[in-house]
Amino acid sequence: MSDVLTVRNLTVRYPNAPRPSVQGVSFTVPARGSVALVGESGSGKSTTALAVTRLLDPAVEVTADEVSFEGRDLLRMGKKELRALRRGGLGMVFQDPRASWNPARTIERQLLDGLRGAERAERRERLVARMRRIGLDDPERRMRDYPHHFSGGMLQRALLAGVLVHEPRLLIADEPTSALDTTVQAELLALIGQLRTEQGLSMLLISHDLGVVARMSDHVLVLYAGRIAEQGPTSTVLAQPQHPYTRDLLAAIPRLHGPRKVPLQVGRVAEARTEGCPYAGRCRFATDRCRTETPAPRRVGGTEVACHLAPLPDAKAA
Amino acid sequence: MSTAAQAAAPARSRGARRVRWTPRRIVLLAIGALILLIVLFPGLFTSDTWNKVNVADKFLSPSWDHPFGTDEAGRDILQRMIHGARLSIGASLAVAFAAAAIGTIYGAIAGWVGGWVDRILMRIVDVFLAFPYLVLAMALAAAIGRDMKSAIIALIIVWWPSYARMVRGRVLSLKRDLHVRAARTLGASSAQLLRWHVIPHTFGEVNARLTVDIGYALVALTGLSFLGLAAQGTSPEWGLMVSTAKSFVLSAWWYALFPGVVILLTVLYFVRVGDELAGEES
Amino acid sequence: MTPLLELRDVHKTFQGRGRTVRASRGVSLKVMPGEVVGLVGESGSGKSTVANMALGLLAPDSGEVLVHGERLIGASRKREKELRARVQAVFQEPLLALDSRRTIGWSIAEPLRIHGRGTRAEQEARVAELLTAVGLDPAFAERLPSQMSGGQLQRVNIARAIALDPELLVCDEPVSALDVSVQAQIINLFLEVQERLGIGMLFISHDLAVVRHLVDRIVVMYAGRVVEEGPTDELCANPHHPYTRALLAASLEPDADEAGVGVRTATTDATAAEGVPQEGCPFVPRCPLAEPACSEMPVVALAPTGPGRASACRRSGVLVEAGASTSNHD
Repeated sequence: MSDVLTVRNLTVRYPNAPRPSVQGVSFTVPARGSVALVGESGSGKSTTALAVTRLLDPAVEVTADEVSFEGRDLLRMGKKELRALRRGGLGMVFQDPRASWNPARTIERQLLDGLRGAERAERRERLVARMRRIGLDDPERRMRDYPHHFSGGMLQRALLAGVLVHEPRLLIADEPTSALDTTVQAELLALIGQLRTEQGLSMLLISHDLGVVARMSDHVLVLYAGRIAEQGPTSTVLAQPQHPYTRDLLAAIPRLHGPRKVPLQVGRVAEARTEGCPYAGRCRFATDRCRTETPAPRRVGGTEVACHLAPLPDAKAA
Repeated sequence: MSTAAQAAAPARSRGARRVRWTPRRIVLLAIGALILLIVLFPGLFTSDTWNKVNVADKFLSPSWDHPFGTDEAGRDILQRMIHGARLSIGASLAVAFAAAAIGTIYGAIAGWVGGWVDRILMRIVDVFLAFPYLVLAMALAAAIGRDMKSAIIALIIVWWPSYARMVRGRVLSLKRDLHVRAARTLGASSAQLLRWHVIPHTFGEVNARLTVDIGYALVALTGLSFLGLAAQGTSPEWGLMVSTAKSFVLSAWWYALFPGVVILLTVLYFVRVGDELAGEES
Repeated sequence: MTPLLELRDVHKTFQGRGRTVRASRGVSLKVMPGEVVGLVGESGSGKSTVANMALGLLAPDSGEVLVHGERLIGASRKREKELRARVQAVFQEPLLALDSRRTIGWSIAEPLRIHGRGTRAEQEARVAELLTAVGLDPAFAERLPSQMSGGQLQRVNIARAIALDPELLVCDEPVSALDVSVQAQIINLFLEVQERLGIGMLFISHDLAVVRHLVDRIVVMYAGRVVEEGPTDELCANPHHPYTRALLAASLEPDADEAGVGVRTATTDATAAEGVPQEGCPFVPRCPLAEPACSEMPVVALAPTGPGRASACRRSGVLVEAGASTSNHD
């Protein structure tokens, strides 16, 4: 089983930006595997996904040692091949269900766009079947409705159906449930998990929510200011985080149980540094070395960490 | 946006109210300053004899002494135009500003109060807007009186409704904005909300249109003068000059040409500035 | 003691193009002085409508909205102003809640200006004091909103909200638009402010985990109705309504075991136009405990299920028992 997606040393730079949005990011998505990119706004997680799928503005500089899908070079691929890929091997789902749909056209029109005759009829049939599978009642009729007749959760399901009907090998989901209510989110994630197992789909998940990541992915990359802070098997990273940022992130999550006051370690949020370790401004363990020398990722315990000081004392998250 | 993202954002999005000075804008500003000077202090640019009748020099073609030539009374056309600027441009400014001011207040009230008040007020606006504006302007100018003052009033009457509509639309949307609702929870009265939070946010759009309208008002005004409905007699108003010049088109071609060109360029200038402002607004 | 805020059987319906949304169907709740109450619900639950009515931005179709026992809407101009000084708000979008053309200092001083508190100099001093109290450098007073981050702006909004020393803060999803680490800081700031000033709060959120850090009592809403009420810890440990239970189960925590989904996988949710049945309990399509009786009118009213606890569920007994047996186990 080979890797479905390989990214090595990806760097993305916007014109006139003080620092690259993504720097030196490397990861692989194995066949049937699920990898998550986690970070807050400005971390570069969405930019990474957009860069890999060539959805960024041409003015943005994207460089890498390798970005390949099933062995095929994504960065140098021709437009036609790329488009075929986006309808075939690669499926993408984005955050805001209402933004993904044209409010002026019916669901059916949008999903069957560009198909004619026998091909269209066949695709339609498969779509209807898939929608039913996905939990949309009376899909025949509902397909002819407009997006505003659907709730957010249902729109995402419809989108999923539309994407999965192509039988992609890799699903890239950028905050697929962030705009949805918690209960709807839980249902949708369960659904995605189920479909993944059935279709043997690989997934690249982008999220700011560690809870979603814990549920959905085997492997996680924690991004901060465009760089990988830590990466490894999800369970290991969440149980024994080695990077100070991962720890702070875990500590900051509001919990249903535990102390009333959110156990924050740092008083102020500082800007990401462009010299040395980007987290040094906020990190309570920062040393002079951290401020001048950018740490390279290295293996510590079960994960890969970009920190001079790892392993840190008291390796437990809580 | 987290602070990290903010650092990566282009400088333009911070301090959004600072103006970016491109070479084009500097040039526009310089021209604007020149126009202002000419309107306020025409005497700076002309000699004391600018209006003296000198039949011996009549219909001199353009030369170094008389860059735009002379008219039927021997007066230098360029110098007359400089004095006429205050009339033509001054009047256009008056029309545009007055129409904008009236329209803004009217539209703000309609939009803010809403309900039947809004409906009635806007019906009235609809009636005005139903007429082709030049026809209405001419009819009013003729009816009120055939002089500059009446022409200005006529144009203001024709012009204010479109501002009213624009501002009303903006106010309707602003009414629902979070910062206005937030100010309401602070205890602000309707008057305070309008004064501090609503009307100031209409200025951008209004200013953009206002500037362009100075140009269009100039066209309308000079047009009315041309038809004999505004400036009269020996006034150096530009439209009137063109009107007088039409009798001498074949013999004194410069007489009709230069005022016409200057009118055109002035209108283009204001339209250009308006575009720049509109660009900033978006 | 008069409640700071009281809603009595409030109804509110919105008419959209062809759609009728019944945002509030007989909502009643109370916030007592010094009490911190959390209002939890998802989209379509009607919680924002409650916030808007509590703040006097929206009038109910029927029922009463009382601030200190008085109606805000319909009060004399003078009385309305006085009441408003005692109830302040913090909204969800930090940037949109501020006037983009005004400096931060101007905005924070606005309530002081409106109510004529102090001279210019005194107001300026108070602004500096407030900025420091929320953890910002007083120099920020000169900045424009566009020059600051979401977290900083929310601190500004909090500063503005406490400028008049109000007795009640209505916070409508104040941390939902913020990143996790910033969110945590603001939650802690709210805690601090509440402790220091002893103000009452109505804290509205869709996230139970967030609300739980701040409030003494939780009110859960679904499809325009209050479905459960109770003290925070008890409610989270032993919910008495199936929806609350689903909310708790759906809360994904990074170190919890694979989260069980507490709802029947359904094709509808509270926002779907067709999802909410017209008769009977609105939660029936998604409820694992629903029985035929649940779909009949009249809908079960909120009834006490224990000291300080209430649930609007025909089958709450099942949950109460389940809760009792778990606590007996420990």
